[in-house]
Amino acid sequence: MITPVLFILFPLAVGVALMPLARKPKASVAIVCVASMLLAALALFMPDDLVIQFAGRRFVFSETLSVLGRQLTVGPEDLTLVAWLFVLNTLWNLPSRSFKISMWFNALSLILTSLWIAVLAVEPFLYAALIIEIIALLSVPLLSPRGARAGPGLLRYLIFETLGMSMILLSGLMLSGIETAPSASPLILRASMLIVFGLAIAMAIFPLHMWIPMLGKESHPWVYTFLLGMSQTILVVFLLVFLDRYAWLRGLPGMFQSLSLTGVIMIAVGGVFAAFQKDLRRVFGYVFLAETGYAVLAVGLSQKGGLNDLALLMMPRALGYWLWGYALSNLQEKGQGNLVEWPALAGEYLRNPWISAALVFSLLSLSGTPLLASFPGKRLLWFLTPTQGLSLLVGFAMGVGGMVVFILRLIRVLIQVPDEETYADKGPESVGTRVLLIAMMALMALLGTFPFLVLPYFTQIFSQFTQLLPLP
Amino acid sequence: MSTSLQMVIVYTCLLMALINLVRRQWLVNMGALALQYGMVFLLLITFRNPSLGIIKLLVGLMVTLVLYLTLVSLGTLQPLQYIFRFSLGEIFRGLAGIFMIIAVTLFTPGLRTEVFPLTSLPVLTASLGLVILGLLQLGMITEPLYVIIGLLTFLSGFELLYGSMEFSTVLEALFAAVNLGLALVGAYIIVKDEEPETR
Repeated sequence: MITPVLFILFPLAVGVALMPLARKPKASVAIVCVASMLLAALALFMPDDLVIQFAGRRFVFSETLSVLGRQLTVGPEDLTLVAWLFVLNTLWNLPSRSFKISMWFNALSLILTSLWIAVLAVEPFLYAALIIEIIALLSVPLLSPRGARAGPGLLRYLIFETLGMSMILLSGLMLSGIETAPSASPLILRASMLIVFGLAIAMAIFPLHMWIPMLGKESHPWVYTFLLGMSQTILVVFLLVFLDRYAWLRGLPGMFQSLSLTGVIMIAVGGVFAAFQKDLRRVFGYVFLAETGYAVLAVGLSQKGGLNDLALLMMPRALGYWLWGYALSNLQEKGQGNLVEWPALAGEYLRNPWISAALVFSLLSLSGTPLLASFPGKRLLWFLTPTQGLSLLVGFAMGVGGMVVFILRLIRVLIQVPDEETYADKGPESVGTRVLLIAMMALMALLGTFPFLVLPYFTQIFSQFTQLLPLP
Repeated sequence: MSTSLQMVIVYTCLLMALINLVRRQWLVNMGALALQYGMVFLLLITFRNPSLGIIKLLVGLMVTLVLYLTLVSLGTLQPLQYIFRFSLGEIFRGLAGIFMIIAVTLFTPGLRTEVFPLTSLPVLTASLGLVILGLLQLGMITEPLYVIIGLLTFLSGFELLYGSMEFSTVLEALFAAVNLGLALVGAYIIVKDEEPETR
């Protein structure tokens, strides 16, 4: 047996086979969740030698599959991340049918998950750029389902992904055979520029992020948080692959300082822009920008131990996105799209207390509030940042301050006395919704209070990037 | 194929891209797109076996056909107008496009020497011209059909450039998938307003 067949081709085939079942929502959800959880468990518990003993039989897995001279490799070092991606897919599929999203969501989410794994598995890994483009194309029916006009955000998303893909591919071509050349070589400098710009476009690094809030307003929050969360997780690892593999890229003068500065600028911009928002759908775009900033900052600080902080933030970030997406999707569907903006949000806490609390809770957690999930990772990053310059703390302060201002504004509008007319015609949140929200909030509080229970497992994801680990 | 004939093909190709940038008549745009793919094919076979190059032509024609049939099914194709009247926007786009083609023609020889020595001058001129006209289209227009045409133009220029430096069967297959995917996404975006959501 071969791991790429198991973790890429099998879910891809299941996803394609589920397409005709799109009109049978319960069956689709059940199959996707069961398949994802089985694959996650298999990835998590597979030994390092890729040999499994089961029911008296011995299954030996090979980690490489060759396709027309190219390889797909899923080794033991990739399995924690693979398991996490399938867990995320399950988390987003479980309550998916309670929202009015595209009927293709379940099948496509499994296909997209397998393609994201293929992005990390393909060799030469520059081919991943084309797979990312295919993922963008497959995401279109989810981001813009029938019955609504395609907005400018969606079109810009397509444009930016295509431009990013072409730059990454071209850089690969320029690099062929010169991986070990000195950093000062003109070829290397050109290739570096292309890689940096290509990744910046693909990851929506500031100032190339404008499509993100736009797309947030046009798409369903449940789909939007899923797609952005997945892409952020993988693209950060993709950036690490580049940095780990090419010594000249690491050796470019000021490379890591630039990454740290870019990260802090993104945190500042995300927080400051969020502070002025009046539409919750757009706010997530800025939260996402700030979170990408934290990830880029952690990569910039990788040689001082930043990768551990990046690993610690993976789970809290995804859970924060889940909680925000779930609460906002409920709110949006209750108010038929009207309840997600000021001033319609006024008094929402009185009508839907748990949804309102979840919105605030997810933002507090993502901002790094003590005792909540993101705090352990962010605290370490805050302490590590001054090692690259005290001035970076100004950006931090702006970002965190902006987010706090927005949270206070949100709390204020949620507890305002509502207009009686709008108050009367909206039903309360369901028991199932409350249970899910409370469970997720409890989990996030547990992670923040006892981070050592789960979070250290995530540090295994980055152990393969040996060139980026701090020197002893 | 002589260099002068190749240059004729190059400028015909760029003229088609320019027409797509300037005119807003869907039938003309589809014809220009198909012809553009034909010209790209003729340039492609200057450095690649025609039996391999024809894949790109077939993909290009399928892409055009998908978009054309989508427009036909919506009944939005208008008969050709033989008397051209240019609006101010069209004149602006036309001048910007011509300026870019001149710039590409002037700068390509130097760029070839410095960055792309393996690519012939006509192929480099055509690919950079298509990339820049595609980008111009993407920057100037927000209508979905023209954004898709802009992306296809950009991609055909990029593929021509990439193909002149490296050939890989997997890459060709992925490029074909991306092109067809873009056409299908374009068709989906164009028609989805006409159909109700099914769930």
